[in-house]
Amino acid sequence: MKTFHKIYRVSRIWILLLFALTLPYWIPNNYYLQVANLGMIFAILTLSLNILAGYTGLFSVGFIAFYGIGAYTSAIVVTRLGWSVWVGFLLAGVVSSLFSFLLGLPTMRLRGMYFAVATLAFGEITYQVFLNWTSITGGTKGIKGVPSPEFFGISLRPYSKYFYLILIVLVIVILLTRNLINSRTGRAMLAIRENDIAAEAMGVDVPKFKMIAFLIATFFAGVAGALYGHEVRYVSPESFVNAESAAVLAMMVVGGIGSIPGSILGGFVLTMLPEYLRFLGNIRLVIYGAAIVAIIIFAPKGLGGLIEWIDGLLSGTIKRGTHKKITEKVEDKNGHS
Amino acid sequence: MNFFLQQLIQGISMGALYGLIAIGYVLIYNAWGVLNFAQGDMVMIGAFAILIAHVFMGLPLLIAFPVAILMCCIIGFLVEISAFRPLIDANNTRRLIATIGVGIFLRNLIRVVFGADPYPFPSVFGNTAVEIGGLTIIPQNIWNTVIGFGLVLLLSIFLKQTVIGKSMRATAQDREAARLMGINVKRNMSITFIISSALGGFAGMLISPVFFVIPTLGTLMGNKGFAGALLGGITSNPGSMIGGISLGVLESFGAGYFSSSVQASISFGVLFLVLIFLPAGLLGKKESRKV
Repeated sequence: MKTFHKIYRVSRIWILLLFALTLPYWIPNNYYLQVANLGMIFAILTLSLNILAGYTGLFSVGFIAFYGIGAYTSAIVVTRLGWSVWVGFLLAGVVSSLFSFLLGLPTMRLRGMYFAVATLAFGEITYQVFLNWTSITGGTKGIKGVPSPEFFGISLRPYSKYFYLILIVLVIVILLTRNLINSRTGRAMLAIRENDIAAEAMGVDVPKFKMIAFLIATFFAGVAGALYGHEVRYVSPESFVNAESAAVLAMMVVGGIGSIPGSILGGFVLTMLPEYLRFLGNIRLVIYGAAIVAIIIFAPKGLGGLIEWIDGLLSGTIKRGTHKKITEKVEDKNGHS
Repeated sequence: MNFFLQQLIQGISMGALYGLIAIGYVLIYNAWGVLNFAQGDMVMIGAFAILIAHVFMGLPLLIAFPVAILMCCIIGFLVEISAFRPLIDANNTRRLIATIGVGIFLRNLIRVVFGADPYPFPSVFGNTAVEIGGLTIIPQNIWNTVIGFGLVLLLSIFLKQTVIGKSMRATAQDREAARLMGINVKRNMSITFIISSALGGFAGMLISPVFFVIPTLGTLMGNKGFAGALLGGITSNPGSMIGGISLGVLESFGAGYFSSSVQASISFGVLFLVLIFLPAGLLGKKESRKV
């Protein structure tokens, strides 16, 4: 049994990588391949929301706005100005961060709940701008003909090729997030989540670190938006309505608040599941709402907790690393968190 | 001058409804420690409840109103007992997410059942304008104002004078101490949620003849009530009424003197300005927090 645990511990990351790399060949149908791509894009978005909400405790209720800003930025600079798609990807992240900086300036000093209100309003306003600023965003008609990227002459237009682009971005985001959480900045963010006053008393510059988390999260969200725009090659306001923010929030909660593997699984599963449950139709969001409540009551760790448990069993140790100790939830009986 | 008064009356009548919604937010915030993101959706539930009772079931208004209020109370109670009660000792983050989840659930459930199209609702107090001293006044607006103020007055009497009201305020102040004094905290929580659901639902019923009945009504009205509650100070009952009315008047003047497209963005503008410059609101106490 001991050797099995050893083999598992060494090989788990390679098995996972092999599975990810061969995934396009496992999926027979082009349509489902597109859905899988969307699932990975949502995994990136969920992970970025987790940096903000899961690790720093700042709940953004209008997070889809930054995804939309990214998608529109890239689509506009590529189709209107004729810039390279790769520049579009980068600009999507930068512009998205820029907006979060402007929104963050006044709101970073507020408590988490007020921040949630501000982001709700921001999401609503952003949607109205997408809808009504016809000369730039194309209004309800959106922007058609967003080109696919090319890599040294190879068109990434087929979903099976675009898949690898998203996979690379996803892996980069995972690595960056993991390193961030284990860094000094990440520990400051966790301290703010657990108790902002205590963190401040310990010398953590609370508004500064909140802002850093906000900028990083929205950068990733913007890039995810650009990935989306160039995948479906069409950007319209309907993709960025408030209901989508709710869906992303559901992905994060179902996946597990503050869990990296959970975010990825949550984003992926909740994007794929509705495709297989087509007969349910509009009930998707009803189930999401109920699932959020049920998971927050019965299993606050979500799918991430399940993965951690299975991983602990297979590797022979239910890990008790420093990271886990820090991220463990502190339940406050008085409700002051 | 007449135009000014006209806009003022219009604003106050809308504002009274915003105040009603805002008070629901305040009651739950005081009792539960987080904003209830599902409060706006109770407004929508109220509008659909009166639609079912009056239009679909054909009950006369005098019976339909109590029936609809009863429906709101039952739904509020069911939500409280299934989603919020299990989290009574959980931290604020989990509670906040639970309220967001409930909001998503209610909004989309109604959309699945009734569709996304708006339902018209017949006028209750008549839409024919009445001329009073050179002012054109729509009876519905006057009644909305009167009922809105009446309910808020009743609520404050209830909270100050009755045993249940007093124990509700005690629970809001310090749950542990209230429990030690022999107050049934869980029952109080239920009553708080039922009352705020009924108030939100009532606002929805009063709005339905003015607006269309539509599943997204909750988000729209929730945002306004929210902005009103924050403007008044999120912890103060009279403050939320003042906040709601100020917002209604501002909106009305914005629409009257500029254009109706300004109206929609005013509540968001107010929201941002209050959050930045006046986080405690007009009448709210500055909270001192401890670790």
